Amino acid sequence: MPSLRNIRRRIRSVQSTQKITKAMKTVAAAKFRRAQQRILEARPYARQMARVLSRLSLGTGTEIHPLLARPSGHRVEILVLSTDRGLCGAFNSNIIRRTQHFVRDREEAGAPYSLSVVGRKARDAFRHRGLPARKVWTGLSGKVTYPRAAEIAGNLIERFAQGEVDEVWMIYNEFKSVIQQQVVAEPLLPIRQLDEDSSSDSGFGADYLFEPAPEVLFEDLLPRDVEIQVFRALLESAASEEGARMTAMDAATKNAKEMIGSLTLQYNRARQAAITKEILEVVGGAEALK
Amino acid sequence: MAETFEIQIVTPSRLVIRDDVEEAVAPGAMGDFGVLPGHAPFMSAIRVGEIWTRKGSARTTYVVANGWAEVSPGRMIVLVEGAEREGEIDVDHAEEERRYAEELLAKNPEGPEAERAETLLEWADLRLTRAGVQRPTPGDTPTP
Repeated sequence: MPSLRNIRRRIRSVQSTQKITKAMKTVAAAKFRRAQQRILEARPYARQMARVLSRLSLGTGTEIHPLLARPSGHRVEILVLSTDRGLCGAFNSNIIRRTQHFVRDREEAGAPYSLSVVGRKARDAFRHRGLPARKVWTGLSGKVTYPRAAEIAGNLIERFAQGEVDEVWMIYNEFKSVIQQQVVAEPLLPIRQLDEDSSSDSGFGADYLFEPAPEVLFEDLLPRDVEIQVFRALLESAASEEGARMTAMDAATKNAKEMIGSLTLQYNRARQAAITKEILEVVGGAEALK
Repeated sequence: MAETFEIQIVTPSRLVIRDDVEEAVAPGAMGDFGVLPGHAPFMSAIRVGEIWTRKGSARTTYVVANGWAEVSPGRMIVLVEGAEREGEIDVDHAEEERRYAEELLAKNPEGPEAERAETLLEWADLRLTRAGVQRPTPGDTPTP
């Protein structure tokens, strides 16, 4: 039986842990709301871009553009989105496991691959497993900006356009709800199908004037479509991260509460036993004096 | 009431403004262009610079990064990587971006990353100049 003082010390330690997890949960909740808001705010831009791209693609010779070209080989670049910080449940291990599955499939098919990694967690995990990343970006957790997303996309586009890889895939946590994230693997390059916009009402007629020429404009806009995909994935991943952290910290807080409960029970029992023992001793002493 | 058209300035992170205005001037890739109600359908790339709009006698200026604009009947949509209303410029963020762009440029003196860094730098400089933090350097006039 641990001594009273020992139990008291443990209770205090669990209490301070609980304070921390509770604070982290509150912080994660606030960050989560902001992250969710950002996903919503990013939509108008993506929508407008998709609309114009699909319209432009109708009027120009799209099949010649390098970003739309069918792959001729199997060399794959994988962009993995993880986090810089931990304490967010199985968030990163899910991502890492999914990537390993993906990589194993590629290896079995004899297809060479390389890894681009966002976040310290996946970088460290892959390094540990002997899968070094070709390129790593860190410091994005909590401050995803469009220029940063564009930089990542630019690096991948460059690699693809130079013919160093034939496909680029993206593995990230898709945001479903606070308690639910889903790891998805999505092809990023070549650009598959431009969303055909069915609503051709506000017609992009032949009487449009273009500056510069539509082909040039189209070529300029295509990479941006990739940038938006990366940006959206980063935002989704950020929202998922905070959601996962919220859930993990909530569970930790509950566990701490339970633990404090059982420790307090133990403490009271020990105290009671000590008191009983003392009384018995006093009574025993008195009896002996009779 | 003068005739108006709708203008939207959209960035990847938010809708900066949606308003009805009488006139707008934007920095097109091949020179500044003005838009009045009834403008012909038109699409243009946008370079780093300023867009200003007029509604009655009220003029508003926006500092924008590169992107493109679409003018359709009754509506003008501007999609740019970043945009801020003059007077609401986030100086700290602009300075941070400036430092970042310089680092990026130092690391990649050539290639597409250098191009990107130069655009970022140009935009950060313009924001800082317009926010009154940085004196414009001679010969660095944003709108020739």
